[in-house]
This record gives sequence, C-alpha cells and structure tokens, in this order.
Amino acid sequence: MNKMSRILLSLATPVALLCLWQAVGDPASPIAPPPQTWLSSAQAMLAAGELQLAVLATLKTVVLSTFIAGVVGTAMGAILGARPAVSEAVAPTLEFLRSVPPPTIVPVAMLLIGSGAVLGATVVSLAALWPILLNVLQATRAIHPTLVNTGHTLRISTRSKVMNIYVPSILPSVIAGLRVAVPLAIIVALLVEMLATRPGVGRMLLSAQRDFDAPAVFALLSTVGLIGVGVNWALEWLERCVSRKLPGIGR
Amino acid sequence: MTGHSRRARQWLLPVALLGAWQLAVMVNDGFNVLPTPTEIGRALTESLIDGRLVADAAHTFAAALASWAICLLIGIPLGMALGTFSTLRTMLSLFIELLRPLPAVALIPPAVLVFGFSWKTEITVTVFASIWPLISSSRAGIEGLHARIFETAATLHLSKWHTLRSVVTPAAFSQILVGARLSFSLCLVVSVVAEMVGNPAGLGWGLVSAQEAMRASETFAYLFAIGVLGVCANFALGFAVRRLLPGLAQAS
Amino acid sequence: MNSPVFSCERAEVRLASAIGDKTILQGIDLQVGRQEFLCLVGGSGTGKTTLLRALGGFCAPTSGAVLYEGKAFRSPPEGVVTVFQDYGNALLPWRTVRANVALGIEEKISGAELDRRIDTALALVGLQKAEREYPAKLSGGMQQRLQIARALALQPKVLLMDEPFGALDAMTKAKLQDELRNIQASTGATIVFITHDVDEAVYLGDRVVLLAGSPGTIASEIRPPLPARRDQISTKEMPEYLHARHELLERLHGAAR
Repeated sequence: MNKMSRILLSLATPVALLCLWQAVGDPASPIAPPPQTWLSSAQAMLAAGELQLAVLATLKTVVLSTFIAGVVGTAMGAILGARPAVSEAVAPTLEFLRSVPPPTIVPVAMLLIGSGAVLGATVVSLAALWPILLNVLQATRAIHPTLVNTGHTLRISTRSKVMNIYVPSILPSVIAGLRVAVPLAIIVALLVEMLATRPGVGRMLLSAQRDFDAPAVFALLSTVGLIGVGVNWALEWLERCVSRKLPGIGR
Repeated sequence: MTGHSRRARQWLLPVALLGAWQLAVMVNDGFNVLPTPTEIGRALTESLIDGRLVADAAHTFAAALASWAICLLIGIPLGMALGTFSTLRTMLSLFIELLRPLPAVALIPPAVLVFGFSWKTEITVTVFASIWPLISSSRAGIEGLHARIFETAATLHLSKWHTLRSVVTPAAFSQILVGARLSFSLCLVVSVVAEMVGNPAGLGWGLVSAQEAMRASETFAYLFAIGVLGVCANFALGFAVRRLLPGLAQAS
Repeated sequence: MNSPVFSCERAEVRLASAIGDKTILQGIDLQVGRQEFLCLVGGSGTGKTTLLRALGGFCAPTSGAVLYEGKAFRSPPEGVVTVFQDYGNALLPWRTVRANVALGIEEKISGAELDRRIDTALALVGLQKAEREYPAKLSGGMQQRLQIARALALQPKVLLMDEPFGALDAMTKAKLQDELRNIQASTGATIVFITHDVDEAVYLGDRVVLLAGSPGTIASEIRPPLPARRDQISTKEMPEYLHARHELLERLHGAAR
C-alpha cells in the first residue's frame, strides 16, 4: 500500500464515523446529536465571542503554568541531580508527593488559596512541575562523570559549563518532561475551571451540560480535543527540532 | 555511609517538614486556614472509625478495578490485532491519535449527559481515559516479537489458535504487563477525578464534599487516603502478578 | 520405498534486499534419501541456511522445484521439523522443560499418551532430571537438547538442523554429536545437518555436500566409507576419515580461492 492510499485509509475511519453519526443521529436528541449541530453550536459561540475568550483563558493558564513549572522544575531538578547526597535524602519524600494525583490537589488548594485567579496558576504549575523535575533530575544524574570532569579539567567558565555540558545533556529530558506535563496541565486547568468556576473551556463545558445543551457539549469537547492534538503536534515538532540539533544525546 | 544512616537521613526531611508545619500553624495566626498534621490525623481516624472512609475507598477501588477489567478485555485484543494486521493499523491510527489526547475531565460532561451522575459515567470515562497505554503496549508486544518464535510455532505445526494462545500472547506478556500496570494507575486516578465531577460517590466525592463544607482537616484526610490507596493498590497488583503467574513473571 | 524424501530440481532462491534482488542459491540439484544423515558444509554466505529454510518450508524457491515426498509445498511440510541455531529465541522461557517438550503435541494428544511421548523424548536427549526447570536455568548444551527433544516429541520423519552445536563448547559438542547419531539410529529419522565444521560433518554424516560460491551451488559431494558405529577417538583416526576430511578441506579452500 503506497503512502497516499495509507493516508486516505486512515482518514476514512473518523470521516466515515462522523458521516454515519450525521446520517443516523437525531438533531433533537439530548444525548447524541449529529455533528452538524455541534458545528452550528460552535458557530453561535464563536459569533458571541464566548468560545474564543474561553479558549484563551484556558490556554493562558496552561502556558503560564507550564512556563513556571518548566523553569522551577528544571532548576530544582538540576540542583538536586547535581548533588547525589541531597537527592538521595529527598527521594522518598519526592516519591510520596509524586504519588498524590495532581487533580486531587485542587480542592485542597481551593481551601487554602480560595477561588481567585491565583488558584489556576498555582495548582496547574504544581501539577506540571513533577514530570519536568523528575526527568531533569534523572538526566542530571545520568550525565557521565567524565563529561563533568572534562569541564573541570579544561577549566572552562561556569557559563560555558552550563551552556556546553549541562544544557545539551538536560534539554531532551526537559522536552520529554514537557510532553507529559502539558497534557496534565490541561487536565488540571479544566478541572480548576469546573470546580472553582473559573473562566475557561472547562466552565463552559460544565454549564452546557447543566443546561442539557448537548450540541454545545460536543462542540466544546471537540474544541478541547483540537487543542490537545495541536499541543501534542507542537511538542512533537519541538522534540524533533531538539534532537536534530543535538544528535546522539540519549534520553 | 551505611544503609541505616542513609535511611534515617531520608526520614529526616518528611519529619522535619511535618514538624515545621505543626509549629507554623500553632504559632502563626496567618496560617489558621491550614489544619495541623495532628488535626488531620484526628479527622482521618474519625472517618475510619465511622466507616465512611472505608466505604468510599471501597467504591473507588471497585470502580477502578471494574474499569481496568474492561480495559484489559478490550485493549489487549485490540492492541494485539493492531500489531498483527497492518491494514487495521492504518485504518485506525489517525482515529486513535485523535481520541487519545482527549482529557478525561472533558469527557465527563458528555458522559453525564448520556448516563447521568452514576457509576456508568464513572466507569465509561475511566475506561476511555485509561485504555490507551494498554493498546499501545499490547501492540508493541506483538511488534517486538522475534521472527524465530513464529517460525518455531510453524515448524512444530501448531494451529493458529494454539500459536496465539500458547506462544504469541505469553511472549508479548511482559510488554503487555507494562501497559496494564500503567493503565491500572490511570484507572485509579481517573476514577477519583470522575467522582469529583461526575459521580457522587467514593473518595473523589468525599474530597470535594469536605472541601465544599469547608472541613479542612477532613479534606486533607481524604487527600492522604487517596495517596495511600494508590500506593497500596499498585503494590498489591505487583504482588498478585508475581504469585499468580510465576512462569510469566520468570520470563519478564 | 526408495523414493527420496526431498528432491531439489534446479532450485534457485532469489531474495529481495535493500539494494535489489540477490540470488542466494542457484542450480541446486539435490536429493535427500530416506533415513539418510546428510551434512551440508560451506563457507559463510554460500546459502546453507537458505537451503535448509527452503527444505523447512520457510522460503519457497523462485525457480526450479523443491519437493517433499514428490510434492511442492509453501509451509513447513507434515513430518518435517526444524531445529534452530539460536535456541534462546526458539524456546519458550515461561514454560518448564517438560512443558516446552509438550508444545508441539499437546493440542493433538493428552493424558497418559502425552506423558509417555514427553518421557520418551526427554530420555532420548537425557534431560529427564531437569524436567521441572525453566530454560533460563539450563546450560547452552541442555537448552539445545531441549529444543531437539521438543522436535523429537513430534516423532518427525525429517529433522532439519541449522548449526545446532555451533554455540557450544567442544566437549558438549562431542557428547551431543554421539547422542544425535544414537537418536537417528533408534528413531530412523532422516537428518539434514548444517555445519561449518568439516570434522563434524564427516564424523556425523552418511554423505557430505559442499556448497560454495555466491550465488551458492553444490561444489562437491562425498560419501565417506565409515562404519555405522562411530566414536570420537578411533573413528577420527581411521584413514577413510582422514582422507575424506582432507578432500573436503582441500575443496573448501580451493573453492574459496
């Protein structure tokens, strides 16, 4: 099977399913309305400006929190990783903290911080922190001691050491951590919006469900899906760029 | 550094943190929304004694287990089929890539529309969110098999069914197991999340109710219980696999 | 019945590769007699394994014919079992020795009959004591014996063996060689045995076929006049043995030049 027919065949399944749903679905159904109703609902929401605002709100939280988590996680991971004695002492505590599922932190955070704008950034950053921190920690520990010794022997500056030894060794693990952290951030961000009624796609989903507005629910679900797919592709692209620029670095 | 003193060092940090926490709340008024570790311990004991915590934990665990069973029944054959038949793989690859990134949380409102606030919602959402690692590891398990294993089955003149059951599936087992364990952890987490927003039962619901009623100690107690359930359940799974399937565990 | 078990008639095997098609075997005319112990020798790249795979039903000839009992085939023929060189990949690590031996027959027979067949196969290779062990616990020689026992449990008419003793040390090899001749004597199976070791080929075989060149062709064929009863010391001092060995080595190195 050549490449073209392979692409067509893989497109066929979702397209066929959507067409089937469209043909068989009842527009008045409160449970499974056909895809066209989703489209009209989405158009209405776009026209009213609601959809864009909600998507932006959610994305803002996700991007900001991922950035914070990235910076803090990389720094903490590198520092802990560079001092094996410290990371060993801290290890079981980290393991326990890691085993608490991030979404469950949300109610606790709501009690402590309240339901203001800070809630989203705080909780989502915390959730996104762990994958990055742990990945960077592991990668830092895995830097071959010879490489570190080379830096000392050549007496290169700290800046040069960081740029030429640490950054290339750690960067792939940061990206790998991001690939896990970003989907997690999206989940927690949506949850915060649902539980604390913060503006965003999550809150819109919840109110659409409460209003029994099935087309809107599916339209919003599709929106979330598209965001997820888009983010996934962006991260894959980033990963490819990094591994092209840094060939031969194991992860 | 001897093993003992290293382990003692590891306990140092959590004990120090807990101690600091206790002191900080007791001493400083600004922290009064935060319960002390002792208060949390008391809330934990109370909910254990009146049976609520145990009942909730049992519900969450049962829902996770049921969802996991469904994931196994659907995910393993599907993954193995994807690894075996390249046409099927091509047909479903894009479809799977579109469905997989859907966050579990976003699936809850549609599920509530269809099933209402019930265990059906909880299990549907959990299965949908947790099946992917199982599918991809089952597929990888098949794709990673050495050609020799198929040739062995052929030269011994085994029937296709016998080959599948006695040669292919056990050979792929260690890889499938990786996905199964991942899937199980996900089932636990997603069940809790579904209970927070989609099914008023179990630990997730207990967590959110305590928070809505502003019962801080109880909220923390439920959080702790969720963490403990996760650790225990995963440990129990590893133990069960080693006991029930010694030959396969040998080979893993 | 004097008809040959296998019959290759101008068989040619061409395989596709990344850089285009490559002819591995060409013009192979070979017959394998009933209950014969045939050894195939040759340098690397001469197509020995490919020929064995063609006989084993894993690879069809691109032209010419390979017939089993007079008929062409596209999958492993009934009564033919292959024993692979990489026993590690061929044995099932999650099954005990006994269960591994049972693999080929458990679907068709059961109960006391099954136990009897397994016991017989294990006795033929001398693995009775190890029947409850897992393959990972066995030495290389024992693992290869296990693979042979598993093949023998099917009571095959033909055993195809691809350098089965190649990965073993000299002492184990010698022991297994004698065991194999005994197995052939007691089961009456036809054996086609690949080896790059000329000594092994002359010691074991009723007939030795030399493959050479690329694409591989049959360069020569000898039938050393050795007695049916052989042993590692006196047989290898017989003039007939030394003569056959000399001839083969000369042709092998002559063919390589």
